[in-house]
Amino acid sequence: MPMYTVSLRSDIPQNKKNQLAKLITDIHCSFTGAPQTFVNVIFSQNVSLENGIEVNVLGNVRKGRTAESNKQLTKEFHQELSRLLNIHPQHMEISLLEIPARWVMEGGEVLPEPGEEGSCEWLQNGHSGE
Amino acid sequence: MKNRIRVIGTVQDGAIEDEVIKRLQLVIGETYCRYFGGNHHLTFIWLTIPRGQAFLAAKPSTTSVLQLPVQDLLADHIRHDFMSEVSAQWQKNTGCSKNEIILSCPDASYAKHYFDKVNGRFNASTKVFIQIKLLLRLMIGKLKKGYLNTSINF
Repeated sequence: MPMYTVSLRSDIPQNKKNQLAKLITDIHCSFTGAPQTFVNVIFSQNVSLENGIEVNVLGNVRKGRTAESNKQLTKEFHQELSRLLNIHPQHMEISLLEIPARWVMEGGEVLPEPGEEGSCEWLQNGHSGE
Repeated sequence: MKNRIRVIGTVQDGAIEDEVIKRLQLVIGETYCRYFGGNHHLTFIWLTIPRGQAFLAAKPSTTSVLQLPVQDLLADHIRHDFMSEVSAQWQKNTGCSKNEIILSCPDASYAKHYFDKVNGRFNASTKVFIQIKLLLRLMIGKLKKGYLNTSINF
């Protein structure tokens, strides 16, 4: 976690997907301080989105940040993603859904609360290997 | 009447063999009933992600995700014991590392809210058509592979 699901009305080139994944990861980490090894991005293509919407981003993020922080994060996503995709921000939907960290297990460990990542052995080991 | 639990598994296309997925359904279903009682029926829905569409830390990902709802307000120590056991079963059966499985066991009410949010993406005027199409694809997937599955793409 977080898990960002990017739903696209149509297919986009692979290099754009790579860039989008990088941008989402960078924005999430710069706003929340979370390590990059937390950030998952999945693309779903050819989705029949609401009229006028080209991209829908649903972020499943850990609960515990302020409403203002999430608002700023959403705003930044709106600006930067629409710029990268060269679409009007109005043609993009972005929402965050918060999940308590203690309901999720990664690397065989229950996720730490936001800000307590230092206590997570799996993260300190770089999320690689056994 | 059994309490139906909708389980969503998201896996990389071709990463886990069909027989392993069927075994996972069985093992996880048994564990669920052992923890929470035999009056539950788990319906697994498997979404496959084509290569190049999943990223972790902005790099190609091999991670699978399993959303396995539990009863609302379940005590943390029971939830965590259950999660540890399911995570271990996943690793044992798939041969993947502990870093390749993200397991979420949310309250059932949260899982429903999440599902509604995912469904909320769809064009309202074609939502029923999309849901029928999805159902058909899942059934075709079951006929082909023996379990409910379809691509994350439409």
